[in-house]
Amino acid sequence: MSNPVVIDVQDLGIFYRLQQRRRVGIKSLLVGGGLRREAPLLWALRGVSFQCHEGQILGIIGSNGAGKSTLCLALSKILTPDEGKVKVRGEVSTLLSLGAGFNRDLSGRENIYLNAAFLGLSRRGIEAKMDEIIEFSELGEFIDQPIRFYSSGMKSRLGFSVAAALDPEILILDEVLSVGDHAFQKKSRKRLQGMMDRSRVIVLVSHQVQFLRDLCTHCLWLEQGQLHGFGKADEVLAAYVAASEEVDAADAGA
Amino acid sequence: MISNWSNLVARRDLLRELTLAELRSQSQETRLGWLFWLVDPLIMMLIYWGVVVGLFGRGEQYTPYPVFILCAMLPWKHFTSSVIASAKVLRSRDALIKSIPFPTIVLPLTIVLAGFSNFLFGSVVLFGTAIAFDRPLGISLVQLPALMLLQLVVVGGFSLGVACFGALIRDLTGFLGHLTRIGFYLSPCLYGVDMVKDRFASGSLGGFPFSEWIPTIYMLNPFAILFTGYREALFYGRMLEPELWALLVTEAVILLFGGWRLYQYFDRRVIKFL
Repeated sequence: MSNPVVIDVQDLGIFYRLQQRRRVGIKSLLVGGGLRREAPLLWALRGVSFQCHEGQILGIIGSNGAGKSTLCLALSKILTPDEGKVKVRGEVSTLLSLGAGFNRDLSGRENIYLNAAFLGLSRRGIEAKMDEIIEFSELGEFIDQPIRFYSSGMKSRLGFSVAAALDPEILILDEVLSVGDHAFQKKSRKRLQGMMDRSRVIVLVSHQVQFLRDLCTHCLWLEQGQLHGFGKADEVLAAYVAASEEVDAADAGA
Repeated sequence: MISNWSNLVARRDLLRELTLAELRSQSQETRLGWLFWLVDPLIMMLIYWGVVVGLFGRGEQYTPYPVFILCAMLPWKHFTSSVIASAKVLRSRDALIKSIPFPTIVLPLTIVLAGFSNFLFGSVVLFGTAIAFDRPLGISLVQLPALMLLQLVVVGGFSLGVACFGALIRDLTGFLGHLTRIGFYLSPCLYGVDMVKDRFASGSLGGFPFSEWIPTIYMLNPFAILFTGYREALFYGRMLEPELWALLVTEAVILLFGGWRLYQYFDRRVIKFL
């Protein structure tokens, strides 16, 4: 008997409206039709269905604009479906970008409280983990300086350290694994591995085939908003690599 | 995450942290820090006092004018700063909204609460001025907590509605400065509602149609009642008329409910426009 279904996506469709006419000219106002905006739909995702069971690590792969980030937004309940259904059973933690809620005028320490609140941690909960977060971020005495003085690497390290304090049931990561220098990357991957071990389901978005092959049990391949493949990671990634090589060969021949 | 009541209650820590962060950020941006929240209304009061009384020689019936103007200026500043900032907040925090699931309604509410904290600081100046000018401060002060709460509700309702439209219609932020300026002159900030009543009820404007209706229509503006309420409590030492209380409570509830429902309707739709 298979593990329980944690993520159930049925016939998912999400569209954006393309705004063609952005200005109202005097002529169009006088003649008419200036305020009516033609807004064709762009389906970022359409007809996507899959299920993810407990214990699986799902990789999402596809070229730029394939709909990977939109799928993450739908799984995180940031975007609601225009078609179909998304059912996620459990508490979701999303790392789509690190330190997105930072306030540049506040110190690193104050931003830990703020960022943790965005991620759903209470002040008491974060106070218990404060020393661990500061130590992991390697910011030392800079922690009490306003983060407008931080480099982008320092901000990312702080953002990752707060996010790594989470204990999520379902973890969604979108290209946030290349943080800091090589040593910090090694440390952050180890920490992520710990989070993954404790999570019921992990969803990873990456362009790095080898990275997904090493970590994922299953893979989902998206192209132009549609499902191109879903199944065991090795099989889907092999098909994706073969298709990419075909495109490269065609480009080289053209 | 949908911005409904239960989600907001569940994320009250976020609302508190964001409000504190906003206040800390404001105070750290200035050399005076939180002292600026006291100096700012004082300077504004001195400017209006100088212009209206000193330059134009008006407002003698509203002596002492500093107390009279502060009663309106402080809640009006809370309103304008909140709606103007709320109109921009969803666009300016788009990266955040697209990265972390949280009830986005906390963003305009944070602005309203931080503005209300500034208002409370400014109230110290108002109290100080009222005492300095020997106003009859007595039992009428019991009205203040209710007036402040209703002000918070009114400003909150407006800000929620404006936050949605500001995200959908970029032009709105450009017009808001002008709209609030029109609102400032249409509301009894520099003058009292008695002036409006005298002007229109006495028929001094000649054959102006339905002029006897204008004072009644004028009092539908919730800020006309709020300013009158603060002046009754701190300037005249009287109680606000019960029918005006009833009208203000009704309007505050309608505005908050309307703003809230509007925000809920646009909540997830707005993200696609950011």
